[in-house]
Amino acid sequence: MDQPDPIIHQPVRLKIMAALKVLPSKEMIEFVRLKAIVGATEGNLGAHITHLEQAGYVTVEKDFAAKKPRTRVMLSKQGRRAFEEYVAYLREIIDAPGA
Amino acid sequence: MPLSPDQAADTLRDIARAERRSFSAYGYQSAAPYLILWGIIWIIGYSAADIRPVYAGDTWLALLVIGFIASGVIGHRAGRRAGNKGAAVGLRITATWIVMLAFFAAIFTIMAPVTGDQIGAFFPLFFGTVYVVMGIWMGLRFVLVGAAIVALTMFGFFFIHPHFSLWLAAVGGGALLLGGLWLRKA
Repeated sequence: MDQPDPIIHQPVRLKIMAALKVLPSKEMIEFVRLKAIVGATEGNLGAHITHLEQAGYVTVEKDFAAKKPRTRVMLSKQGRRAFEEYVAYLREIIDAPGA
Repeated sequence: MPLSPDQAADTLRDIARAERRSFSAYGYQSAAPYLILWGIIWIIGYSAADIRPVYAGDTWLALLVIGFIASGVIGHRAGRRAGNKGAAVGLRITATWIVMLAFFAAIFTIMAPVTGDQIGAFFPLFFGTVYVVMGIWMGLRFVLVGAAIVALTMFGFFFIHPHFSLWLAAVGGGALLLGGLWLRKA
C-alpha cells in the first residue's frame, strides 16, 4: 500500500473503524454508544457511517427496541481486512529504515 | 501524499485511544446485567440472613442456584447476539462458577470463618477485589464499583452491629445494583 486508504484515513471514520474493530466478530454497537466513543455529532457520525457502509466496510441495521428506533453498526469482513491493512501500512512507515 | 513516521505514530495513538474507549464501553455493557442480577440476589440473600438467620443457608443455596442459571441465560443470549454459539458461552460461565465454588470450598476448608459476619464479609470483599482487578484492565468504572463494595464492607464489618447482614444487603447489593445500572449507561 503506497497511499493510506482514503476511506479509513479520515479521522472520524478512523475512530469508528477502531471502535468497531475491538468488538468481537459480528457484535453490533448502537449508534448512540458509538457517538459517545467517537465524540462526533449525530449528523457527522451518520454521514461517515453512510460513507463506510457504501464502501462495504460496515453493516448498518435499523430496528426497534422497546418501541424506540435503534440503529446498530457492525464491522464487515471487508472492513476488518481494510482496517488491518491500514494499521499494517502505518506500522510499515514507522518501522521503515531511517524513520 | 504518504504519511511521515510522526503522523503514522499519531494516527496509531488515535486508533489505540478509540479501541480502549470502545473496549471499556463493551466491557461495561456486557457486565451490567450480571451486576444487576447479583445485586438483587445479594439484597434478598443478606436481608433474609438478617431477618431469619436460621434459614440463611437454605435461602442462599436457592438464590445461588437461581443466580447461576440466570447468569448462564444472560451469557447464552449475549453469545448468540454476538453470533457465537450461545451454549458455549453459557457453558463457560457455568464452568467459571464451578471453579469459583471449588475455590471457596477450598478456602473455607483451610481457613474456616469463625463467625457469620466473617462469611458475610468474605464474598463482597472477594468480588469487590475482582471488580477492581477487572477495572485495572477494562475501565475505571469497574475499579470504582469494586472499591466502593470493599470499603463499605470493611466499614460495616467493624462499625455496623448487630445488623451487618442488613448493611451488606443495602450497600453491597445496592452498590452492585447501582453499579450495574451505571455501567449500562456507559
